[in-house]
Amino acid sequence: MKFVLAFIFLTCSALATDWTEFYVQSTGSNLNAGHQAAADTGAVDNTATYTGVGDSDGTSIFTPSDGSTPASTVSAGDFASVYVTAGATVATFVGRVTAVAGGANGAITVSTTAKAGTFPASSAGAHTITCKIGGAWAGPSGAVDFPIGFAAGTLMNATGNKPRVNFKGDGDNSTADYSITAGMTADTEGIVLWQGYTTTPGDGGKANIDGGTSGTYYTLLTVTVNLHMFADLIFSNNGASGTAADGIYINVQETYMYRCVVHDIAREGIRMAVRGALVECEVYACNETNTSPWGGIGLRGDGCMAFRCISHDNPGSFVDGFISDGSGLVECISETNGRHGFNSGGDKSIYYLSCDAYNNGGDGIKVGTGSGSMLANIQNCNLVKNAGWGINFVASTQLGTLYHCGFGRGTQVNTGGDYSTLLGVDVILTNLGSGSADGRYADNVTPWQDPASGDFRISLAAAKNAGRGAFTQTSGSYTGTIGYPDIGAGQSQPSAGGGASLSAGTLNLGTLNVQ
Amino acid sequence: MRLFLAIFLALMLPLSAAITERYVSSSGTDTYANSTSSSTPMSLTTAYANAVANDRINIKADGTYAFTTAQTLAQAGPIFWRGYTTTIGDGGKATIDGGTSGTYYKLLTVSGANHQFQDLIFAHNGASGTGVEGVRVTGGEVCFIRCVWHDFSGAGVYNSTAIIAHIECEAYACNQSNIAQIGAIDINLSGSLAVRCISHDNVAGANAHGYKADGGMNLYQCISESNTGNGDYSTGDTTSTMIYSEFYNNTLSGVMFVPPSTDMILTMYNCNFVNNSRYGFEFGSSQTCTGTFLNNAFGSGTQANDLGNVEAMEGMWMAGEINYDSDVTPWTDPANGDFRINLAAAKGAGAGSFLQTATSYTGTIGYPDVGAAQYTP
Repeated sequence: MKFVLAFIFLTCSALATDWTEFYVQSTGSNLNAGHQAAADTGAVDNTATYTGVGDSDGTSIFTPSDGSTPASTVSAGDFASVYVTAGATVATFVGRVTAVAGGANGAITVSTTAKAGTFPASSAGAHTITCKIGGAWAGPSGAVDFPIGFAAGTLMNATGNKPRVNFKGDGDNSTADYSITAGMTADTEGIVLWQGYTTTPGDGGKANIDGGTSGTYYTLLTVTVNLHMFADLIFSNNGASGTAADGIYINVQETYMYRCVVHDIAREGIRMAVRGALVECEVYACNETNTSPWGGIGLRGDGCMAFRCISHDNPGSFVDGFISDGSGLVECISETNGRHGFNSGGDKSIYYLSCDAYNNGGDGIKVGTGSGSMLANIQNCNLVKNAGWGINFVASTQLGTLYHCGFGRGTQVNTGGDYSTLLGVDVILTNLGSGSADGRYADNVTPWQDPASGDFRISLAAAKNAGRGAFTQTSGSYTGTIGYPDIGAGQSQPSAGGGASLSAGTLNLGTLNVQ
Repeated sequence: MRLFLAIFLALMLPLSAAITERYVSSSGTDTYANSTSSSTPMSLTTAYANAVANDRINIKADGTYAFTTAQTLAQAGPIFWRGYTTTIGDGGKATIDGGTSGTYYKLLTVSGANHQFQDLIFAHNGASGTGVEGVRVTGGEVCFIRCVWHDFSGAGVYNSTAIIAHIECEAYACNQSNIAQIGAIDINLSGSLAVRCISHDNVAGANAHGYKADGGMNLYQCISESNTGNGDYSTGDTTSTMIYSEFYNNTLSGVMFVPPSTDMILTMYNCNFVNNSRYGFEFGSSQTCTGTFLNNAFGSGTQANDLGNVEAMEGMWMAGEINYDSDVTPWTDPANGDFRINLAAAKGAGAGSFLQTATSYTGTIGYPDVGAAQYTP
């Protein structure tokens, strides 16, 4: 394992995106500017490096009246929070400093474009305005969703790097870093990357935003403006009673979630209503109210996609691991859910490539609703020990492919059968241990290392390199290509197969991905 | 309990109509009604005109199916069109040829929903005039399996309002008219995808792109090589995915996202960009895009992308870049279309992480190769 990681680090170089960094720390202040000022060295401070009282010109200039000398600590490129002093609880304007006049009561000029919020109206010399430079924000708390709903894609440095808002976590994924009691709404202009961290931005550490276990259910996060990206964040709990609500509701296209976790939610963990993408996310203990038709992850629009996501232990009898309408799933795992592993709605195109469905209370994959047509492409998937069919084709019209999937037998059988009646789906299955080209593994084995403990690394020889990898090459100059992928999501390690042993609770084992 | 559930589920199943096997021969003259026997095959023209839902039209590769005028399939499916050589379903390919004379025309328009084409070769669509695509799909949910498109004046296959899937298909020598913003495989609607497809040697000029992908295009284990345009060319306001794919030896960039597209998200991982004459990935600086760019690999030395690996990418999460040693490719013999992964640096080096925080979990990780054709140990 160490060898592999060392090898990868040696061969990788630092292709990376630069960001305009903003910071959220629970000990900060939401009246700060959120950005680390040039005068603030080391770790970002929780307090502003400059605070002054004075006046606003109503457009872009703050002029101190308190005798302070901003030029001694404030630089062009810093970000300033400028607000009406009286009654302020969160920043209402943050913008990039473009000029600082010298001397006592020197004016601070901020950009009219590289900013979020609205610059305070002219104070007409009443000295009612405060300006803060730098300092981390405190983040969401109680009914306050700040800076979600405030920070916008326009908060860019002079280079034009997009903003990243870094939420500091304590390194313990089981405890809340930010406790809220009301829903948050991401409704500002993107691109904004909202990301958790422990020590250094982008270190892969997680920040936990917890909605609590009391009061009426509410949606933790609603995304209504596109181009928001959420990474390394944990969203948990959303009330205790009333009408069930989702954990995250995305009703605008081009939303992206990367390495996020959602758990203990009254209704659907992640409900993506229009096209967007989920990468390496985990959802469990969702739809606790067992409300149909909601699942752990709902991909409910054409062009929604999920890659290497896991939905598991969503136990209600109406709860599916994934619900997908017109969407695609690649290398996803759905296990031990109350109903189907993967459930797709009607009259759509769906695809499941290299996915695993294990130990679900209904079908491993259910295709269609009984009416309408389904274009389904299901390739290199494992369907093991589900209480319904391995794959249940319900749609009245069926097209597509069923290639090189593996089905459990014996104690690992899908109770309903391998797959139900097909119409026009092109089926190619191979001998995986049964002696026939039927896609059946030998009795009583699974293709994985330890699925009961969530270890879905491919370890069974019959599943290794047994996936579909054919290409069509008719051109006369071609000698040909063929691939030998495993069947399943977690490809075995080429040299050793199955990878090294892993410790409990290991996070983000692909540390090469951490920027 | 499981037994009862199984019985219950079985009772819930709809009664799917059976497929009717029908036969077409290049010398077939019999009626549609008699075409259920291989000894009394009909012509492909008769099949086009009469096929109905739940027909499977088996087209024997015993000669060329020649057309000189545009054909349309307007009827709704499901209808399955499948080539064969000796026994139906044997994978043999029948060729439908539009000829090399006269004005360019659409060899086939599929305006009805739910057609599936399998083991068919589509070739040629005239000689002069305004270039047009070989196969145009406007009906919903159409699937191409192991089909080939070559020698067309426009795109090989083009979809506008239909979601289609391309599985293990090939396109070459397309867009011979060098029409702007056209790919040999041209995908234009969210939810469409291409799996293990190859688009290569489209060489008519700077617009001869391997793929054009606007509207939720998904390339999975696809190859685009030796095109005189870009390996892929995208302009759309969309959600785009390219994973486990190869972009090699294209005259422009491996992938080109053209400004001024807006509001895109991109997922790109475990792809190779080697020996393209512009960038590996060229990204218009005026675009607005976010997403992830993980564990992609780039050639160097004689195999470098001439202008650099990636151009102007702002707002993306990028990590795990792999730069191969000088002068090597990750494949066995790309010049001859052999894209099997054989370079150690590409084996097991792809992004394969899962996120598992539940305390009951010990964890999962995968070790995929970077590239389309996964290595066999």
